[in-house]
Amino acid sequence: MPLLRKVVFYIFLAVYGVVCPLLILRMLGFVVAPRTGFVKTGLIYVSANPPNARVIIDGVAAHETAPTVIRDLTPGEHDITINVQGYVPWHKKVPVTGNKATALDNVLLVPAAWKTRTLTDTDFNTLIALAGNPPSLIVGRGNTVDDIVLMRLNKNIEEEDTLFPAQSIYKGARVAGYFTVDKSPFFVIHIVDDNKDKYLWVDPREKQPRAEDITELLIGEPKQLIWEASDEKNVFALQGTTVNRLNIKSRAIYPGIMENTQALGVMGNAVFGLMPDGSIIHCDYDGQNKKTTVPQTKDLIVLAAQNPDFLSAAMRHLGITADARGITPGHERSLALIWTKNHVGILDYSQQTSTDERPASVQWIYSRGQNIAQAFWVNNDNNILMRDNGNILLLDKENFGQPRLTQVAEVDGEGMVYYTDKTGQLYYLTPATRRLSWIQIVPHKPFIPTPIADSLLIKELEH
Amino acid sequence: MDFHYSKQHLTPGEARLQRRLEILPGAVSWASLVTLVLLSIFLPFTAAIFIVAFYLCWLLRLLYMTLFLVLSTIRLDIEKKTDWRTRIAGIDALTAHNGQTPPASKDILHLVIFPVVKEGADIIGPALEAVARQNFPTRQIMVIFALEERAESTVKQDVSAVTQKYAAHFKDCFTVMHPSGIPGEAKVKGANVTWAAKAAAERLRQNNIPFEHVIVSCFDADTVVDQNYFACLTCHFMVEPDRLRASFQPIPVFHNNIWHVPGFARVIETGSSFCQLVEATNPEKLVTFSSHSMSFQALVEVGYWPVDMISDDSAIFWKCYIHYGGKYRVVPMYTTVSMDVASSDTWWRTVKSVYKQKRRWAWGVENFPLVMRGFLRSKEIPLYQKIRHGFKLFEGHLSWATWAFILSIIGWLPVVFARKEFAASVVYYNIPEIANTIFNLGFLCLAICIVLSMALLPKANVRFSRLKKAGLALEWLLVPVSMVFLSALPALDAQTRLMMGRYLEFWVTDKRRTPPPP
Repeated sequence: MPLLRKVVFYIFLAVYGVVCPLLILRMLGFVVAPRTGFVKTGLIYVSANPPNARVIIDGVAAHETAPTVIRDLTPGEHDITINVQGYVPWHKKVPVTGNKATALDNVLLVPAAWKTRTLTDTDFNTLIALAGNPPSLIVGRGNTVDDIVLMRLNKNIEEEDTLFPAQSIYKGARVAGYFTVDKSPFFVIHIVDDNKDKYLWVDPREKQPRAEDITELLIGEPKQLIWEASDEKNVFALQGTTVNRLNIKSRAIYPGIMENTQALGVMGNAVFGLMPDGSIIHCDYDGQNKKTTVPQTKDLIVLAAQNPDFLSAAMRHLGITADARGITPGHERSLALIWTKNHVGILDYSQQTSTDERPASVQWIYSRGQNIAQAFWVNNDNNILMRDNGNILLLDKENFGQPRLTQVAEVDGEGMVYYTDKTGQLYYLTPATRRLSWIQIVPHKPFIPTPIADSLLIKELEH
Repeated sequence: MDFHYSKQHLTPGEARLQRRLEILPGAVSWASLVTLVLLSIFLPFTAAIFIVAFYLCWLLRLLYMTLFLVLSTIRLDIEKKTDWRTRIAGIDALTAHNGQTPPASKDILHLVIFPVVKEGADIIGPALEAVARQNFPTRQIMVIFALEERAESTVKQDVSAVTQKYAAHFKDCFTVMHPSGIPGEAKVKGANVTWAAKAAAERLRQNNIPFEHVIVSCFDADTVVDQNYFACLTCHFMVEPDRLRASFQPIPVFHNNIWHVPGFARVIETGSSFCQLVEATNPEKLVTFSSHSMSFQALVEVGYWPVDMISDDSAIFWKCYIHYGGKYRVVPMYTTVSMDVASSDTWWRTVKSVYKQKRRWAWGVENFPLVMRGFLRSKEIPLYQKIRHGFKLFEGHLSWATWAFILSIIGWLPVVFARKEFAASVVYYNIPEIANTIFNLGFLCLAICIVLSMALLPKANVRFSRLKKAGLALEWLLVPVSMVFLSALPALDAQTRLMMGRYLEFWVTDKRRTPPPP
């Protein structure tokens, strides 16, 4: 037995000596070609939405449906077609580099015919989105509170509730405006009742939304009302150039926590004010510990997404000369969607530091816009949906120099639309009938396979 | 060679060397794990290359071990049918004819020592009964219960009762009480059995029995020997040319309470038996483990078991190996000794019990600094043997503490911590594919282990349905988890304690023969 052990040991050692280097070379993407010896290859990872799509590379069908990895591809361009019945085939020439992986993550296939549904049989003139679980839409038929309807965007059924009951004391009051905060389920409605301005804080999470009159906490008409997305106690009001904190639970006012303020933002238990000279000051909720701050890029983007008044300061800080209309952070780290009147771009600030003087890198992926008013990340940051001059357009983030622009629907030029990646649905008012409708943009909730670290981060962000 | 096999009473220079060598295994294990984690985060390509090389090495080693596990199991099965008494008679006839050694089998005396501290009659009774029912003249067996003075009175009564019950079967059967608090001794089994062996030596001298005719078997209190054990041992002792410089290692199995312990414990202990079966095929590197036998003369010459070490079972081999300048070996015996799986009254306590038992086994790493010091001092042991044994001892403990972590957790870290650059490389996509292929091949070995484990189970005790057997097979799927938490982690714990100088105290394993209450 000891001799046998020795013999087998040396055989295994020899096997290891031969197989191990080959295995490592294989892992690094090297394959043996008959004539040229070792060749550096790359691969393409394909996942599609909807899943189980057929993948054809250079005219040959891959063994597996998407998601799949196609290995041993020689460097250069390869024709990739992704095909699912009922959808327009996705076709592109995809570059492959030796030792590198080209990831076609969650390629969103466009249906041959968009699946749409009209949700109401009445016409509306207002559409305002609210976050929450489920998210909701405020839709208005006319100019009074009696015309306001709250649509809860449940998974399958959209429930319709009138915002105020028939016996409400605000019955007949005229709606003058709304204050909402990105990612917050709450909103403040500005109404005019008996020629008196009233501001109602509304918590729509209950079956019958709860409205609380906060008018007496406001000293005159506020320029801005803002709060942290999940905070149901503290509201910050910019009145003139003064920032006041309103505690709507204890009905207390904390006046003048910040002065000379042009715009207001709230983030991470701190209040941010834009000063006339363009600088940003932040302090705590009590107005203490005021400091002039240079926020980190990601914080600045959150502030600018929360309040467009911060956009110019954000652009200046990032060294971007564009006259941005909006910015929205992506799920993916260090990525934001930015749009101007004519352009849509992707801001990658992964290399940007708070003290960095270099301009951030913006990759403009669409430049033929006419009047881009809204833009959304779609399909976990893999696509972009934008409202441009009465058209809803869908764009791929990664286009390999071959942009794919798809028209989704037409809307009124000024009509707001709302898209949520949670359901993959776009809500809009149809131009002719002004009825609330949705289109299923993303057929399935996308799964993010790569990289795992990033997907963990996304979960954290979603949480 | 006159070498003091202990970490006590050292010169300052020896103490420094001892301490450094104590630090080494734990430091290397931790350095390996931490380096791999850091590489996975900061240099994922380098980590990936190492991990793939490691996976392949693991697979080949697994295949290699599985091959010899199968061969060893086959041999165990074949040797079960051996008529050892006939063989002994043959050797007796042969030696009588040419007048040469070995001693006649009738002159060989077996000294059996059972150390007892908290085991009751339910444990020691079956152990002694197995010795009494040997397929060998039991009048050639002397049994000693090495009883700790600190043992509870019920234990003492049980020992007394069992001794009285079986005394008539043996040449002699008596109890030696080991006093507590002897200077220089730790609360370890080695101190207890050494005290008993010294008492036995005195009695042998009084009876004019030459030590070279005595084979001492030091068994754990729960050891139930195969009925051919002493016949097999006698035969091996007689045919071994250098019998006075050899230990005799049976195959330990853990069948005494196998049906009454949770699945993870069953799997872990079966794995331990498999390890010994594989080791048995390599006598050149075999080290004594748990219950085993050896020449009493060698035991006396080396100064008995260490009285301040927990791992007395392997320490005695190293002590002899160094004492005899490398001219000492372990002879594998394809016969079984059955012991208890560590078990307690609740599932969680059993987990803790198994963990502590494995940590105690892994505390065998305490031999490393002593063996290395012995090797450095010894001029008789060939350099090649020093390197071979030293490397195996060190590598064995290193792989015990690290491999399961690398396979189950660290191997996936490059993918988990992947940044953009790594995630955009072919390596990121190829590592999981290669790992899956290797693990699938590894599962083949696991399947073989499942089959062998079913074959090794004590058939007489099987009173369970096929469904239960299928459940037993499925228990093997727990291997990845139990290997991390009940094998690698206790080993790393033991090495870390040695590294930090927090020496382990002897802890007597909980043993139960009856199923825990529902």
